[in-house]
Amino acid sequence: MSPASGLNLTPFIPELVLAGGLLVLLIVELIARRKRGIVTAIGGSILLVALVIISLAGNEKVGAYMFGAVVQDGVTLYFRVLFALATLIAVGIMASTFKKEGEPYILVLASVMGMFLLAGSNDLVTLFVALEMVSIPSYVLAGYRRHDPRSGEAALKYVIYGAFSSGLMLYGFSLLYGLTGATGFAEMTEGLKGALSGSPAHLVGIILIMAGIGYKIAMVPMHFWCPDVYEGSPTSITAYFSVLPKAAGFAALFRIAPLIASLKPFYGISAVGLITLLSAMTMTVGNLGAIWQNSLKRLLAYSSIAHAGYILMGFAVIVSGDKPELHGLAIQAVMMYLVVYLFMNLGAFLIVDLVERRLGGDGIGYFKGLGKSNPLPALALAVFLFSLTGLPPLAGFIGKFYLFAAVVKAQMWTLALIGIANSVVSLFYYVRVIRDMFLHDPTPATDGGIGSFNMGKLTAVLTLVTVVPTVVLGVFWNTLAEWLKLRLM
Amino acid sequence: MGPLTLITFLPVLGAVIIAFLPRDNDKLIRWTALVTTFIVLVITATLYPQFDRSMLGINKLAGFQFVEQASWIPVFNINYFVGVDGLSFPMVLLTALLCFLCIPASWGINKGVKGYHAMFLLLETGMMGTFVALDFFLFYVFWEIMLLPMYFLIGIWGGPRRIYAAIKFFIYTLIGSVIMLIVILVFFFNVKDPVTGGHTFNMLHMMDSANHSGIMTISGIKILLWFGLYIGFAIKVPVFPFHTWLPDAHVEAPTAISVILAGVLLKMGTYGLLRISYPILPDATHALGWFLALMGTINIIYGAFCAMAQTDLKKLVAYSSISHMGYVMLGMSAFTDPGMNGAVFQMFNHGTITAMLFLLVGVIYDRAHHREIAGFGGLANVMPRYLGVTTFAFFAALGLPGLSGFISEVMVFIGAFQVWRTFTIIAIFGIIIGAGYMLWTLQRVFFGATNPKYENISDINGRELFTLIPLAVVILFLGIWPHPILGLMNSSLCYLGEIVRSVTPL
Repeated sequence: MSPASGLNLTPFIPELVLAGGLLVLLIVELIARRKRGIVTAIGGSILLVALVIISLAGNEKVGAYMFGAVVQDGVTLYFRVLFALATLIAVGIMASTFKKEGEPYILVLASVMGMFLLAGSNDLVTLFVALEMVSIPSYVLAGYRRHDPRSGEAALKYVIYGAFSSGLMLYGFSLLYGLTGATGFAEMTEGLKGALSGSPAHLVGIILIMAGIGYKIAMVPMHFWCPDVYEGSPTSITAYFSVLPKAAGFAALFRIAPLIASLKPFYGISAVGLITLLSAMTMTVGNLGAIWQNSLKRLLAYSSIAHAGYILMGFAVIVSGDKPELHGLAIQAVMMYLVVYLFMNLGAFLIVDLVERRLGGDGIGYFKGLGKSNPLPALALAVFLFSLTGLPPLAGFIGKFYLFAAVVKAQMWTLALIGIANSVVSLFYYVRVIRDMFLHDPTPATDGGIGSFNMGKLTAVLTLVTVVPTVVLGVFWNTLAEWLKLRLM
Repeated sequence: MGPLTLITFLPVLGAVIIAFLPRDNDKLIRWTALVTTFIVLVITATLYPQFDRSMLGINKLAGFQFVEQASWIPVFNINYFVGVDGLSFPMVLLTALLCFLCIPASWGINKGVKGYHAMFLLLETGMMGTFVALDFFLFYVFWEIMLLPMYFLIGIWGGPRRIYAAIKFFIYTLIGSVIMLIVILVFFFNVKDPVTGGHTFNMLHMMDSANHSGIMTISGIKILLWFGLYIGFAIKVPVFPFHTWLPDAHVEAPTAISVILAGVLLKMGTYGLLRISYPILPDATHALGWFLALMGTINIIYGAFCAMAQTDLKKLVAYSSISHMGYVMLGMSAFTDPGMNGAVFQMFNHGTITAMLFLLVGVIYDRAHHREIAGFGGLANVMPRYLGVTTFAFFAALGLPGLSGFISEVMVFIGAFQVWRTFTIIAIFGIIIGAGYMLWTLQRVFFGATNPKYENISDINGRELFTLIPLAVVILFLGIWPHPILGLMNSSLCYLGEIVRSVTPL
């Protein structure tokens, strides 16, 4: 589409609505003065529901606009809906913790603003600005518990790693800009197709960009911050971290995938080889790290690293060539996986947060005998953990099934075998939690003698909201699959 | 809704009903489970006279009975596709019978009765589904559904080392099934649906080599795929050296779960080989018949020697299962008519005989609270009725003529001897070792001086007899007149053997 459509703002409506709503909430918060945070939460939720509806109603096949800086297509739409839905659940989880203060919700929504922009970024500059818009509110959120030294440590680690990786990414951008003289992805991909492809600068540029994105998605070797930040941040915020900035990173990866795919083998290093290696390392390190964890938050942090590795399997296929059928399958696989991951991971954090609020901690000891003292939350957590393992008939299996299907179709056998081995390893630590919940008896030493507790209405509703899709998508996923397929047409 | 859907999903319905029953009303929960499994048994029994014994099945849609087909996930061309033929129908019968008998056998469970019965019924759904599924994706889902309830059933209601045993079972089986998943995907992408031209999970389409394309036409890949499936199935059987989970799981599992594990779950392995590996990759199977015969022989001899060395009664029965599943492997490795029939008949007979053995071990364990063979002695004086039933079961297990085990073992040997002489001659010694450990155990437990501790032990009661007598009747009846079951399977299995024999081995 020509830049002539540049001044057309209609595809930009969701972002405009979000920006407007955000300002209104800010004013509400100023008037309420840290007393009625729940009002902000409700307002934010309404705004998010509106965003889902507006995004779905909008015309999705617009192409590039804003002078080519932003693109509107099916993938943009998909990510907008994904972000809004996930944030809606995350805000719900946060509402149990942050009852008085409204700032956390505003920070989350500000971050979502960046994500919306990211979903449609079509240019290096937009991409970078959007990514920073996602990151900066996240730093503040990590350190929101000012008086808790662990929260402060989490925020500091997050900022330092974030700044460093942003620097690396910018340097990578500058190299590719130097090679092509363009910042738009389409022009750059075109420019890199010729003699420049496979030059050292191209390779180094791609690696540096992957480092920047890798930080966002907690990809090995840029994952070191992840367990510490997840552990130090307030649990409900961690729930948000584990899904949203990560999904944003994958949205960015979607956009620059053509740049990576344009890399011709350089001394044997090809784009596929690079992503395959990163994927294999990420899932292996994540899964092996998770085995030794005794804090559920840290365990889920490592598990989220492993899941980033699984999703990267899909990207390995995406950058592997230009067979359209294969390409489409891999993109659908990643899109499917993110949807499934959203429900099961937020659900798992929801229960961990509940147990932490009621019993006082997230150590594995607090979960001992939970199946007897509190069968419903324990059952829900078991469903989420089995789904994260990828056992049918739960949604996590469908996600893995799609990814493995893409990898098998691309005949990447090594990656498939590593993926299988990792699935088996992951069973071990997920089941360890389930074992402690159901196969052990509760002891006063672990649950502080509290025993049975009340879930609370909001948590009960959110549990349903996350459990139902985790089960239903495992059995009837055709509708979702059809919808995703249509987005790619 | 057809009968197969009913028998597959009725147990889940029962489990849902149980979930809503009051937690402390154990009696109501037990009766709900009993009625559910009884209805399933009755429906299965009514299918028996309707089953047409002349229909071949295996790779022809027209040869399957009670077929139901509906589109499930059109995006991936996955169908809800179920049906039975001579291979699966005996297994469905076995499952329905054993599940029904296991509920009264679980009457002694009084901790977490609700969860136990809900899990048990879920397990029944998984087993039924696996036996009737004709779409590979559906098969896989049912295959995996069995894992979760089994994990909890062993892990919560098992013996002292239950937690270790449960996770070991879980991890072993999962390794097998994820490898199978990759093979399934390779099949999917390299098999064309003859109607639409797209990819398919339909097992019957996969069985027609005209639909194969891409890497599925390469001999080396076929062998690899065959071994991928083999690992998945061999872990379930279990075939040496994948058998180490079995003694642990059996020893720790509660009685009824041991019955299901040995009676039905082990059959999944050999059933999978026959249902999937044989017809989809007949040329690889034909080329690897020697391998199956070898593994079968190892299982027979190794399992028998291990059984002989056990001091724990339940572990002894567990190892005897490994040995008896070896006969199944040996029989099916020959692809001859008596071999194939003998193998599946042995699967059925082992299901009934080993179920009796585990129930009998449960009877003595409930009274003595231990299973050490050396700790008993002279029980014949105090438990005469128990002696009678146990002797019957042990004789059935060692292959006494007149009982069903004898017929299937003879058929296996006749069938295998035509093709694998050396293996068969070695394997026949398994019978002798089997007779040895069975009789020796009988002697140590029942004869000699009565252990004074057990002088006042009560004899077997009515509820226990209720679970044992039907199995004893089946064993005796089929030992004299095997036709009611053999007749069901004969045409399908002869046809399956011919499919494999008629292709040139790779």
